[in-house]
Amino acid sequence: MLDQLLLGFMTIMEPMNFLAVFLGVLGGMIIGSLPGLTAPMGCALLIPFTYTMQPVPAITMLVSLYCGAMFGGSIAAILVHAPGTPAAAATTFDGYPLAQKGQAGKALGMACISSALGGLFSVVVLILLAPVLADLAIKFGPPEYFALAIFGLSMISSLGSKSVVKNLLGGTIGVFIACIGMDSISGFSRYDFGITHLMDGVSFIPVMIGLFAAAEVFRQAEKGVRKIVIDRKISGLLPTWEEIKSVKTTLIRSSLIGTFIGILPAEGGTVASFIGYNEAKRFSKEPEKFGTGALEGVAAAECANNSATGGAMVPTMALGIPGSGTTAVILGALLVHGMRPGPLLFIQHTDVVYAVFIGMFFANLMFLGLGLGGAKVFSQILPVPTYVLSPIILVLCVVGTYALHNNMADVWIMLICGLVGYKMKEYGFAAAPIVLGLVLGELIEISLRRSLIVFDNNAFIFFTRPWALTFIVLTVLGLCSPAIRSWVERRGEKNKKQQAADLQE
Amino acid sequence: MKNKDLRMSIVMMIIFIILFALSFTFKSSDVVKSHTTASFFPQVVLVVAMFLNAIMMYQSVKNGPDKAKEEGDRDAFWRVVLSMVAAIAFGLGVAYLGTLASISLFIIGIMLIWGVRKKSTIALNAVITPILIYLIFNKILLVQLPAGILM
Repeated sequence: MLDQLLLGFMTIMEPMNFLAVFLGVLGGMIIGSLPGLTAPMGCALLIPFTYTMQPVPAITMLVSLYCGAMFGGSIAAILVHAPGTPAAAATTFDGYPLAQKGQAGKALGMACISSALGGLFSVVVLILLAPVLADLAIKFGPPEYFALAIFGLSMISSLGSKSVVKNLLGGTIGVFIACIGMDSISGFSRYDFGITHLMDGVSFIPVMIGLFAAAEVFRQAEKGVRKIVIDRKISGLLPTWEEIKSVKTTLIRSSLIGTFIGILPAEGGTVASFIGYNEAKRFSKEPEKFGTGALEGVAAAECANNSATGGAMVPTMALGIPGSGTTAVILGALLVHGMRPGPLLFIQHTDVVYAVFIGMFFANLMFLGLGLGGAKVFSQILPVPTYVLSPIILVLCVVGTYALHNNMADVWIMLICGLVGYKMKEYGFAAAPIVLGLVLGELIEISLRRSLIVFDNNAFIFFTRPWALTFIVLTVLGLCSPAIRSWVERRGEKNKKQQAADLQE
Repeated sequence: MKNKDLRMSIVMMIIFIILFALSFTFKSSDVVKSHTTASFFPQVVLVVAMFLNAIMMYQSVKNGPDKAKEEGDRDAFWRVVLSMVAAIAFGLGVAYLGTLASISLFIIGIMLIWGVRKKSTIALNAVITPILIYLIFNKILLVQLPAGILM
C-alpha cells in the first residue's frame, strides 16, 4: 500500500493535479460560504467542466470541492446565522453567538482547524479501510450486492426530508427512473415512449444538475431580490493553544462520530454534525454554555461534518454505494469518466484511487491554509446578491448539461428535473434520495435478476448466504429504526409525565 | 382547507398505475424465464412505490387537512412561474438562436423578472456571462455550443 500511496503522492504533485486540488478547494469554499448553494449542487455543476480532463484531476477536483464546501458552510453560519450548507446548521448554534460577542474571527479559526483535523482523520480512515472493504467485497456475488444496495437504499429513510415514507418513495422513484431505456439483460426497451434518446436510458448528470442546481434557482426565485449584509469585523483568527487543547477530547470524539456516520450509506455531514454537537454537549463539563457561544460547540459540529467526507467516500469507492448526496454525484462523475466504483476500481484504477485519497488529504490541508489566511476574503463573497448568481447558475446548468453529449435532449431532461425537483421540495420530498435511487437502480436490478437467473429463481438465496442475510437484517433494522426511535421517545415522555405526576402526588 | 399530501399521493398513484399497466406492453422473449423479462423489475419497483404511496395517502388522511394556511405571495408565485418560462425559453433559444445570444437575453429577462432595476448590473451580467461561457466551454473545454441561426 505504501508504494501506491507514494505513487498517489507523486501524481498529485504534478502541477495540473495540484492545481485541480487548489481550484476544487477554492470553488468549494466559495460555494459553501454562499447560503443556498450546497456541496452536491457545486459538484453537479462542476462535472461538465471535468469532461475533457484526465480522471485524476477531474475526480480530485470534485472531492476537493466537497471538502472545501463542508468547511465553507461554516463561514455564513458564523457570520450571518444562515448555514452555507445544511451540514453547517449545527455550527450556527454557537458560531453566531460568538460572532455577536465580537469573536467571529476566533469562531472561524476554530471551525477551520477542527474541520481540517476531522477531515484529515477521516482521510486516514479512508486510506486504511477502503482497500480492506474492497478486498472483502470482491468475494461478493450478485445476491450480496443486491442486499448491500438495498441496505444502502434503506438508509435514505433518514436523508433530506423529515418524512421516512417520502424519502423511501423518493428513492423508489429514483430506482424507477433507472429502469427507463434498454433493459441490459434482455435488450428490450422500456418506457422510451418512442423517443430515441430515452432508449439509452436517463443519464445521471442531467438529473443531478436539474434536481440539485436548477431546482434551487427556482427556489431562489421565490425570494426575489435580497442582499446579505455583514456588519461584523473579523479579527484574530487563531484560537489560543489553550483553547485548542481544551477541545482536544471533543475533536477526537467528533472525528470518530463523523467518520462512522459518514461510512454508513446515505448518512452524510448533516447528521454527523448534529450528533457530534449533541455528544459534545452531553459529555461537556459546562453543557449550559452550549448555544450561548461555546468554542467547543463550533469545534464539535465542524469536526464531525468534515470527518464525514472521508467516511462517506469509503462505501462510495470500495462498494459503489454512495455515503452521502454529494458522493452520489461523485459516483456519477466516476461513471462519466469510465470507472465503475466498487472493489474492481481498486484493481483496475489503483493509480486514480490512491491519487484521489492523497488529493483529499491535501484538500484538507489546503483549506486550513486558505481558511485561516483568507476567511476575511471569503466573507466578502457573502453579500453577492442571488439575482446575480442564480441566472449564471442556470446558464451553467444548461450549457454544462448540453456539453455532456452535445445534445439538447439532455438539457430538456435537466429542465424537467429542475421543475419537478422544485415542486417535489414544496411537497416535502428531498432531491438526495431520488439521486441515490437513480445511482443504485441499475446495480439493484442487475444483481437481483442475475441472482435469480444463477440460483434458478430461488428468492431464498438472499437469506441463506451470510453476508446477504447480514445486509437484509441491517436493512430491516434501518427501516424500523425511525419507528423504534419514535416509540422510545414517546415512552420516555410518558415515563417523565408519570414521574412528574407521582412527585406531585 | 387543503391536504397537499393527499392530493400529491392521488396524482402519484394514478401515474404509478398507468406505468404499471404500460409495463405489460414490453416485448419479451419466449425463451427466457419469467424473472429475466424486461418488465419484471419495473413491476417490482412500481409495486413498492404504490405500497409506499398508499402509506403516504393513509398518513395524509389520518393527519387531516393542512393546518398551516397557505400564504399566497402572488409576487413570489409569478416570479417562479416566469423564471420557469424563461428557463424553457432559454432552452429553446439555445437550439434556435444560439447559445451566446440566448444567454444574454435570458440574463436580461430573468433579472428583470426578479425585480432588478439597475441597468448597469443587468448590462454587465448580460455581457460578461456569455463571454466567460464562450471562453471556458469553447476555448478551454473545446465544447461546440449550438451556434443557432445567428452564427
